[in-house]
Amino acid sequence: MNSTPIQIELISDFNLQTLANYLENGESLPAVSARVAPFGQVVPTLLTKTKKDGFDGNAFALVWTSPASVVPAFSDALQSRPVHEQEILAEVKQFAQHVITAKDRFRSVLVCAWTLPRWQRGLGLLDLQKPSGLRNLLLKMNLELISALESVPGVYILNPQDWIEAAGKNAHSPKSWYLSKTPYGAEVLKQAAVEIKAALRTISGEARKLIVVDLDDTMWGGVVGDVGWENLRLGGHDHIGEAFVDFQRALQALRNRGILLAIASKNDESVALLALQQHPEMMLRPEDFAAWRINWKDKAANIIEIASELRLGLQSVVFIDDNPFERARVREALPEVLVPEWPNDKTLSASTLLQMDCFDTAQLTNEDQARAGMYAAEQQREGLKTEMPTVEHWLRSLQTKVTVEELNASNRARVAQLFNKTNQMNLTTRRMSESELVAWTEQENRKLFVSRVADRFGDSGLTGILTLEFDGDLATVTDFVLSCRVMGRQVEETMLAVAVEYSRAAGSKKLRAEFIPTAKNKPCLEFWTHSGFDRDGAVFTWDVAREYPRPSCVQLDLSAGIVEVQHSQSVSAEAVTRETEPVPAS
Amino acid sequence: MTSIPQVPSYEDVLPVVYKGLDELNQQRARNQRLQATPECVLYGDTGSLNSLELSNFMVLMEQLVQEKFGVEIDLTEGDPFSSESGHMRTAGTLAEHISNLVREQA
Repeated sequence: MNSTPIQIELISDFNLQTLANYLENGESLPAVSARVAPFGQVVPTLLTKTKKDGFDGNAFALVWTSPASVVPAFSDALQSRPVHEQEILAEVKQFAQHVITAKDRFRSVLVCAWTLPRWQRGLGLLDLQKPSGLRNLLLKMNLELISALESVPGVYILNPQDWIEAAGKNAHSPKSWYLSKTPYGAEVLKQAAVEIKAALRTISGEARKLIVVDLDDTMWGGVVGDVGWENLRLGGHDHIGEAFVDFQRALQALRNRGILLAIASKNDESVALLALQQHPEMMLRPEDFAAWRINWKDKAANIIEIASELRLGLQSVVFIDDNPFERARVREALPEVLVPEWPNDKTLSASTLLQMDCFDTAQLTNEDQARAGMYAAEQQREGLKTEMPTVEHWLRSLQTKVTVEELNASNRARVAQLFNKTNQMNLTTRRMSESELVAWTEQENRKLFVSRVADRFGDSGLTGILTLEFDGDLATVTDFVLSCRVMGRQVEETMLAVAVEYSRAAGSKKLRAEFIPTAKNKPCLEFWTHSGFDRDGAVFTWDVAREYPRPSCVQLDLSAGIVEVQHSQSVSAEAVTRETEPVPAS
Repeated sequence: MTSIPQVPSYEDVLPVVYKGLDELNQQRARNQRLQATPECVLYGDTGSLNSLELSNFMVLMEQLVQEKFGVEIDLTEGDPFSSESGHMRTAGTLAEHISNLVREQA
């Protein structure tokens, strides 16, 4: 992660200086520079157009308010006066509008849902049930707030109730309120700092994508090689067996969200696979795993192989193993891999997994949910590769189709996600939020194209981004981003062909790209080095009068109408679905 | 679990004060963290805690004393910030004061 501190402005009607202190001085990443807006001035702060001194448009904001401070009608409910629900909800909508206004000044805004202290009993027995009950009203207010903000790019809603529960009996502190206008105990603010940093990491696109899990005494109880699959502790009328089933269910839930599963286990492969196939209460079957290494080799070496097979960096990997020796070994050998401490008490396995924040994502896209299936298709592709006499035969047999379209409302969430998560095939590793991407493309001389890739084995979804900027005769590739899922299938060359063709149509004479190295984007440099472009150090150029040879094995579909060029000619959309030209040997 | 003395002495209370300092240090920059010694200055001409930190620390110490000794105390009572006799001057004066408060209630 970038070592430059992330800036965040804390906007509240109460004193959040202690939270700022926790954010700035906590050891966990990211480093944060926090500023507290004048407390009690929430609405003026949200509506101001002026950026804070030293704070740029890349800063985040946290808006954490007590309900009565920003929804004055809720005060009537607190005073047991007659309440008008519609009036309250109208004020909630107005507050949400203020948040949306403030979003323009910030990269993202984190908004806390409203809570009540436990000692505030309201109507007691009837508090949740009656329309005038405080909790009844608060639930509706929170739903209204969520409804107003849920589809606003760059706005995320946090749930302080979780922090309050984690803090326990000292969560609310009347004495802190009277002494320093802080309604919460330090433990709540400490927990808030943890969750806010997790949110910042998530928005910065640092989610983990792969869980590599051990088998014996991690996925099930017992050593399968010793006791046989019939005698494993898994399910049945046994609290430990039930806990293992729940742990597998938790893994399954993550897989359904797009997290890949793999196995690294010291076992005989045939014995372990038989257990996965045959045990009647096994929740996860072999087909649920994108890869496995079940052998007697070093687990760190196996994890490297698995990550390589799935084209993921080690920073995407979480390793789960009940054995502290194996955990220590992997931590030492592969510091980028996240190796959580694992409880000896098996009844805690599922909850330990489900509370990990490293799988959080800032968007949920169709690509996420289909990812596990996509990797299964990838296994089929690789299987076919071994059957084909040459790579060219294999590429042709895939029947790859690349569809190119521009940024639009339906794809921008996925584009932002790909933009911020892709490391290896990334020309400049520029990071931008969804709203920043939209703002960037609003300038007339800029274009953002996305590519979707499908082949005979399935749809890999939106997996590529190409941005171009035009200045006189020069066109510049600002971003060239491709998911590792489709690397090496000549999608890269196809995207370059689109860049050259569009630049020519736009009246450019030269296409230029500058590679900015990071610790992870060497594959991108490799590709550009062999792309056929002229190279001068980190700068690659192409004379756009020359046709860029497109791979004949890739069908290119431009029917989404991306070729509307304002500068000069446009290319007709009629013949845009076509077989492409042969690619040169490189 | 450690046994809780009937009437905690200064030596029994001092580790609780140090635990509070550990907690407080998590809110402070690494180079500004307080040393866990009886002489650690909390308030006064050379004290380094600001008013918010002092408030936080008093509330935190009240909670820790309640948890450790089962006694409810109020550290805002009296004259906590007197430069001559205030109990918030150092970690040691605070431990002494807490010990006295707990003894009074025992």
